[in-house]
Amino acid sequence: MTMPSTTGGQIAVFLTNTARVLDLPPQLHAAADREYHNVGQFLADQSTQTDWDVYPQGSFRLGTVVRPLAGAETFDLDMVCQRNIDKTSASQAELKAQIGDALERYIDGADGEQGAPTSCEDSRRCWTLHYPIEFHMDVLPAIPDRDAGGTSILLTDKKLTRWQHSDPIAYADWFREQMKRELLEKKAVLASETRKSIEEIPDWEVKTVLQQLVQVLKVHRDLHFLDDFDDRPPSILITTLAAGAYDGGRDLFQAVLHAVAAMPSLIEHSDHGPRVMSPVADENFADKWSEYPQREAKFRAWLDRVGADLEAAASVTRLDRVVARLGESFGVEPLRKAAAMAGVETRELREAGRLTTIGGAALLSTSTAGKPVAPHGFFGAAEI
Amino acid sequence: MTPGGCGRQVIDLRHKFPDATTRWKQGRLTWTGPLQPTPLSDTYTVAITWPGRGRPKVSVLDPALEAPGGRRVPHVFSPRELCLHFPEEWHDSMLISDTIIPWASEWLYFYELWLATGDWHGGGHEPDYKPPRAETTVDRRDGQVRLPKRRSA
Repeated sequence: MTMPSTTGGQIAVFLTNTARVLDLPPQLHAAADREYHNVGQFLADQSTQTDWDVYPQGSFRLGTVVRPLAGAETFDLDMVCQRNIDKTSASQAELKAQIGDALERYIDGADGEQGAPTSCEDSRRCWTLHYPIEFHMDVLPAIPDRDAGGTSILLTDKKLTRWQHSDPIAYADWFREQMKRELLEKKAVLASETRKSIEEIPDWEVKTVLQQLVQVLKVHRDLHFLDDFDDRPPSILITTLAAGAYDGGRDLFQAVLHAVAAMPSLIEHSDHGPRVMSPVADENFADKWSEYPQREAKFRAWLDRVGADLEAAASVTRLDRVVARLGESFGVEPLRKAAAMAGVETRELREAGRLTTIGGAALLSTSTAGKPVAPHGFFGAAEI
Repeated sequence: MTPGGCGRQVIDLRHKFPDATTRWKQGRLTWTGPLQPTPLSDTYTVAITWPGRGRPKVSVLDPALEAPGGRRVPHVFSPRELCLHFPEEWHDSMLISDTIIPWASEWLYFYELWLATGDWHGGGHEPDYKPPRAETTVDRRDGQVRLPKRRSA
């Protein structure tokens, strides 16, 4: 952590900490990783005639998971369950039923094992595995899209009639490419701190500004559209536009302001209506906007609101008021925890001899040009 | 500390904080200046008085410290006099500019976060050395904050 000397830098600390507070904790990340492996292994052991690929997609793969708003809700993770057969070999209904049967057997076989799912529920286009820990897994039945090639897949749709084109692996590779430089720099720093080689550091152990940008936008979206779920912009749309707008090299406050200003210009308008195309597949993430034009209007208004909320927070003085103002937009409890995290880490900076002061008003800093804050402990009654 | 020590503090404070007021009258040093721990913080007018020996007295003149919900401000001697260090941590040969002033700025930072979270994150403890209560910690593995249970106001 550093102690920034600008108002935007200070807001960025609170935003970054909010993203950290709401991220998927490592123990759940590890548990999810085990499940991707275990389900894949189970399916491979069950079937000798066809092979399967089981892998994460969406926010887990991108490192942009955020905790759902309501405290009782669990993290929402996705698993692609890809059966490597031709499109003509099975209908969508058959594929979904095969996977449902296999998942039931998986649950029966894993009965009682720690971290194993407890139930499998039919959720229209997918199956949902429920776990005794804080996440559930949407299992998406898929087959390879042999016409498109590469890692393209076809997913079952809600009515089990039309295959949906997708390519979560290529999408994640594209997303990673947008933040590659910062990712590698941060992994190199962590590798050096932990005396490991950079290859030993998995991507998920570091977070880039782009990932946290997507996370804070999603958190703001969740609150803003709390009572308007149908018109809520999907995460993939936000992620695609944010990554397209991201130009690197900024703190999170500047990154959010820049992104919300630049994202509208990335929405295309053609004779077929508004388009936000996948960078890797023939997929329009704004395909619903022609049918529901208010969704585009609400999306644009929401982006303006994010910018206005951050500007408002940056114009307030006194940290508790700043935290309260940010809490209105990103959640009161996450901001309280984010502020606590800032406090604890500032104390650690002082204890490590890295906290300094600069200027005529003794601004706290981590600039090495500043005057180090001498070791001390606050004395006197903690509360008198 | 010799009387000359007070003069040394005055020269040092005037040099490092030209916008503040540093007076030396009848053997007593008085410094009044603005402190702002972060660019988003309030700017506080803080007064330091020091008679040439013993503990410098540090008070927040303006704005008045607040304690919402009937609580009391932590780490103060009086509603506006700050407790910045343990008795053994400051002695007369130390420069006020290197110690008391940075500590006061840091105190104000933790005060504003105390207003935000209800907990003092700056460490330190009470004069009667009661066993430390649970502190807020950050889990190294998941970055999650573990907060102590909140006391009723």
